Amino acid sequence: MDKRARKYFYQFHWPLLGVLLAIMTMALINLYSASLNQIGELSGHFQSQLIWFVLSLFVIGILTCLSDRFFEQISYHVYGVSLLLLLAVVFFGSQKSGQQNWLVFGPLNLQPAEFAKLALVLVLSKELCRLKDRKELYGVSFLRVFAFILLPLILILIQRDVGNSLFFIAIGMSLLLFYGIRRRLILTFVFVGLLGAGLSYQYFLKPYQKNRILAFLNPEKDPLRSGYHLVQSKIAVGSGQFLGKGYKKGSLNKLRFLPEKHTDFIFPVLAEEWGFLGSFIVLALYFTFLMMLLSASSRARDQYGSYVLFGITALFFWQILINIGGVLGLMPLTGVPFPFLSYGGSSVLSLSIAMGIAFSIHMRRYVF
Amino acid sequence: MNEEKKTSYIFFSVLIAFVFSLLVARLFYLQIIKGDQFYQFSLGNAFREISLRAPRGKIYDRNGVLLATNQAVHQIIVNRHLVKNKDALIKTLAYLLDWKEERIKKKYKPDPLLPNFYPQLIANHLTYDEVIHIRAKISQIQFEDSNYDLSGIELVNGHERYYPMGEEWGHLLGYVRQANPKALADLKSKNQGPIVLGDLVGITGVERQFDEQLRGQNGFRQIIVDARGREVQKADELLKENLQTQSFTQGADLVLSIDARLQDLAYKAFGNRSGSLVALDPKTGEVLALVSNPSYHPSQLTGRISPENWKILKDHPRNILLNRSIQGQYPPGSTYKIVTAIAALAEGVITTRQTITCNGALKFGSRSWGCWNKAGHGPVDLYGAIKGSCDVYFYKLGLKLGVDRLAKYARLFGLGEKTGLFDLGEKPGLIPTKEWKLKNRKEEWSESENLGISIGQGTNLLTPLQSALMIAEFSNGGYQIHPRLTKFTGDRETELKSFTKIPWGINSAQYKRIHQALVAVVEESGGTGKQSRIPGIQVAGKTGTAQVVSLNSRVNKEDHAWFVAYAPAENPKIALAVIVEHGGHGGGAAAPIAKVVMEDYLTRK
Repeated sequence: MDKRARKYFYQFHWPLLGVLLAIMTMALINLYSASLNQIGELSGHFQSQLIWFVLSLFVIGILTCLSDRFFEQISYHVYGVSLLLLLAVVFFGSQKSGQQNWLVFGPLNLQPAEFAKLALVLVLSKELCRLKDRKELYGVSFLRVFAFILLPLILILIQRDVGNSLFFIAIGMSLLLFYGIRRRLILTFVFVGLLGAGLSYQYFLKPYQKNRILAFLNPEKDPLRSGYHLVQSKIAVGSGQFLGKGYKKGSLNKLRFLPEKHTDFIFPVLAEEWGFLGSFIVLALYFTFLMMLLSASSRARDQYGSYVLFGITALFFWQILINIGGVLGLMPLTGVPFPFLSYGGSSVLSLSIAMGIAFSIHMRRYVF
Repeated sequence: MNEEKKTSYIFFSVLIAFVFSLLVARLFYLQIIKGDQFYQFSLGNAFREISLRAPRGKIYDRNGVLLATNQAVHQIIVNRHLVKNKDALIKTLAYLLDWKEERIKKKYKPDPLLPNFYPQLIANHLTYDEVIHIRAKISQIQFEDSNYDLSGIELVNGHERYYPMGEEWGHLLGYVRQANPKALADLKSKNQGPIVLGDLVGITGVERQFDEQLRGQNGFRQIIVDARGREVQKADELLKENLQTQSFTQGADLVLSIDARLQDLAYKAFGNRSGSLVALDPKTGEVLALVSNPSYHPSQLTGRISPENWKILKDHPRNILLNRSIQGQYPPGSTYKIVTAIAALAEGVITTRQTITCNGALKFGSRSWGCWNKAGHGPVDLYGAIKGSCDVYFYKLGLKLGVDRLAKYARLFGLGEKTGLFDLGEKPGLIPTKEWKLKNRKEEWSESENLGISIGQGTNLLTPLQSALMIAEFSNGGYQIHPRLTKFTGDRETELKSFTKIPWGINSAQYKRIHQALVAVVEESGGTGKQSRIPGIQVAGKTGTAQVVSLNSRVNKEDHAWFVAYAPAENPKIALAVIVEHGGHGGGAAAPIAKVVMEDYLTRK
């Protein structure tokens, strides 16, 4: 082993990888149970996810070897390609559950929106660094930043995928918040406002008013069903109690009352079988994971690195919050996958690309 | 790292920690505080959602006569995915309904058009007594042994489309069916509002045309059921607060422009002859009657139709499924002379005074083209030619005009294209041009064809609706109306003036002359349309006879009889077109039907 390689070996974020592997293992164990049907047969989801996980470890390995400068250089290209893919979806996309957000390449189904999220993180980091260098805090340059957020947002709205489009706002806002203290204040207000709107939506509006809002936002998705799903989800979670019903014993899961149980509703499966204790441990794992990413961001060598790492933290954070918040009835259900826990190739692949980039940046934190 | 960045990281760490503790608190609430209740519930119970289907809107005629409504029915349905023991279930059902098991098995078979999980109708139209009887038996079964099984079975109140009127409404109203996955995908792609599997959707006619408006919005009711699928009445408070109910919104009612009495009178007037009548209000474009004979009762096609019944309709000797009023395309015969006359006057190939001598035939090329009056009309001007329906006069106009110039005026009437009254099924008719012939028949237009089309024979084809549109637009002084099926409420004259004036290019004196000739057709002695006279009301009209060219020369079928008319002549309230297939002469077969309809409409108190 030459000297540089050895140095990189020691500077690699082993603890983060450890947490990641723990999350993946836990996710596979849980998905295995969710993939069993009433008579104990295993659906293809488990195997397929297993393959994606193995593949994602390779992706992480390869990307870690690539220089962080390389990611910086290709930020705009990645963003451009992701826009093209989103555009392709608008014209050639195929529908699944009312949303036209899949690109089909032979046996492979891709959800470009998942990749666009990461592309947005890369390009916004670049843009914000550019702003910081020039000490431009206000004015036209900010419009550019907004344009970068708006373009994919509009393309995703065309596909009637409201959940994901809100996600782009969340990521954009998080990075802007991170960018400046003055704006942070303003944006905090916006954040609090949104949270307030979300809470009042959940608790103060009459059902028919809610349905109107939902029907307005997403007419295709049959908003009337969402209440039903939520009830099922709450029963599954609640009936887990402290210790859970035991692995592979979740009755609601088995009886197929939980819709989309291997994707959007994967967390209730876990909560039902492993109870409060299991859920708490899993949440603690994810919390540790987020904290490690955030601290990696603070230790990055340059601004770009810290922005990207922060953006990746935000990417994970918002997905976790929107998913669990939804299934626990704290906010409207929107159908965002839970990172690694939910089944889905596009999601796993894009998240592992993000992790590869994170590892690469972190490993080169002392290289000047 | 500077101070600002440091606070920034602390801020975000605290934020994440805060959100995660919120999530943990929520988990604590659900799993620890309320956990026992949720657990007890999850043992044997489940939520079920009962769809509350919205009834379709009702359909009325212009005077408030009910044409389509909904009827409550008690039904037994089976949810196949909830069935635990199929054999026991069939046995139980046979016991409940007093049916043979074979019959149940037949009903239990899945409908190939619906997905497997879709609730299937086992028994429909249960009487109230039967319902009570069944309920009693159900409670009895539930205390007995496990030889009986009812999981998957539901006794529900449904509603069905019900058409209280007769068979004269079949083509016009159309019919409804439960949406199958294919229809559903089709409707969704057209963005036709929220709709779910099994909703009634209009397939043809008015039900189809106004489907989105007539369809309501479904509601739902969430209930708690036990392991056997029965509703649990005493659910505890925690669970009840989670139950939601949303009532349905019934579809909007529809008031048609159709006059039910006219529809009925006209249909009956045809007797067992095939044909069609279309009556319009020439000032508003409202369709007053749209009759196609023969017809079927709308309920014959509603619901699940058996292959035998479908075969009977499909193989009907008089083509019962053809909606002649919008799909029947016929040569217009002499009724088309109105168009030829306008074209000739506008293009200046004739004046109202010029006369042409008819000797009973016109020699053109190698052939002699006969007038229907073999003795000849002698010298006739425009007035005389229309009144006596002189073919020779119009042959000559046709030769001078040529096909393309004639087509231009036909197009101004909106002929040769769909009127847009129905999005589905309407035929465009055909107004030939030189270009059309070259493109479709790969032949040059022959000069001799100009003779035929000038008197409405040959390649041109009109639907009865188009003929009615033609005469209505002539009668209202040349305003381009748009036929409509919904009732117009407002001032008719104002509405008329709001339409575009058709640029015919004839002056009012010329218009008046044609109009007078059309009055003479009915009112003067010797007029071909005299059988449509109504005492005290002046009627204007034009008869027509469309030659039927039969490929099988041995079966010499009679010609189609046409009659177009409007009344009262000076201030028309109704304009109509009648065709009687193989009825012979328009004056004899079609005019009397027109008379019945016009007289009733105009003299009704």
